Amino acid sequence: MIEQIKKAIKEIIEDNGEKITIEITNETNLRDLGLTSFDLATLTVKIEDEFDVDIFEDGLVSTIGEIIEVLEANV
Amino acid sequence: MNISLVKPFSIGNVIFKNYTQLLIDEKKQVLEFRNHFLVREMMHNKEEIKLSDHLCFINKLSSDEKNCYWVVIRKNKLVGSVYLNEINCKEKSAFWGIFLHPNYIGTGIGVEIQYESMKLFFETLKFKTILAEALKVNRDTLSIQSKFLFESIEETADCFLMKLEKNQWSKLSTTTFKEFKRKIILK
Repeated sequence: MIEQIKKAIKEIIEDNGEKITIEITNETNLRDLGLTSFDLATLTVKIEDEFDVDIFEDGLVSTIGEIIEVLEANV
Repeated sequence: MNISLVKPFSIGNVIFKNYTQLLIDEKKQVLEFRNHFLVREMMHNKEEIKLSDHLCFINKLSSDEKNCYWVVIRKNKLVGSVYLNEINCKEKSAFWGIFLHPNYIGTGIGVEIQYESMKLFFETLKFKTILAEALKVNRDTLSIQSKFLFESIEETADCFLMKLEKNQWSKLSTTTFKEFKRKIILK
C-alpha cells in the first residue's frame, strides 16, 4: 500500500518539475513533502482512483501512516 | 443583500458560522489561531491581537453591513475562518479572505474551504464579483487562486489583487467538492 502512495506522490512532485528529496516512511508528514494544497487535493483523487476511498472524507490526515490507517479501515 | 448573513450556512461538508453568533469559547478559539505565528505571518497585520480588542471587534460586526466574518466548521472541528470586507450590495462585490487553523495548514483543506466559500458567495448569496489579495510569498494561495480562475488585476511590491467573476465561477462549479477536484485537478 505504501508503495502505491509513494508512486502517487512521486508523480505529483515530478509533474511539478521537482524531485522527492526525503525518504517517505509511515512517519512522513504530508507538510514535509513540500506539496501545495492543490497537490494534496490531487493526491486524494489519485488515492481514490486506486483504492476507491476518499481519505479526507471523515477527517484530515497528516502522515503517510494515517493515510494507510484510513485505507486499511475502508478497503 | 436579500439573504441574512447572520444565520449559519451549511455547504457540502462545512458549516459557516457568523462571528456574531459564536459562543465565548469559540471566539477565544478564533483569536488563538489568528494569533498563531503561522497564521500571522500570512496576514497584513502581523501583530498579536488582544482578547479585549477581538471581542470589541466582533461586537461591532453586529451593526456592520460592509464586513462579515465566519468560522468554518468541518466534522465538528473549527478548521478556519473566511470573511468578506468592503461588501458592496449595489455592485454585489466584496473582498474575500481566508485563514486556517494552524493544525490544518498544509493539509489541503484550504482548497475545500475555498470551493465551498465560492459556492456560498456566488450561488447562495448571489455575489457577482469576489476580489482577493494574496501575498507574493504565499505560493500555496497563488496556486489555488489560479486554479479557481482568479485573474490578477493589480500588483504591488508584495501582493497581487485578484478578481473572480460569477461567469468564471460558473465554468468551475460542480455539485460536490469531490466532482470539482476531478474536474479541475485531472483535466
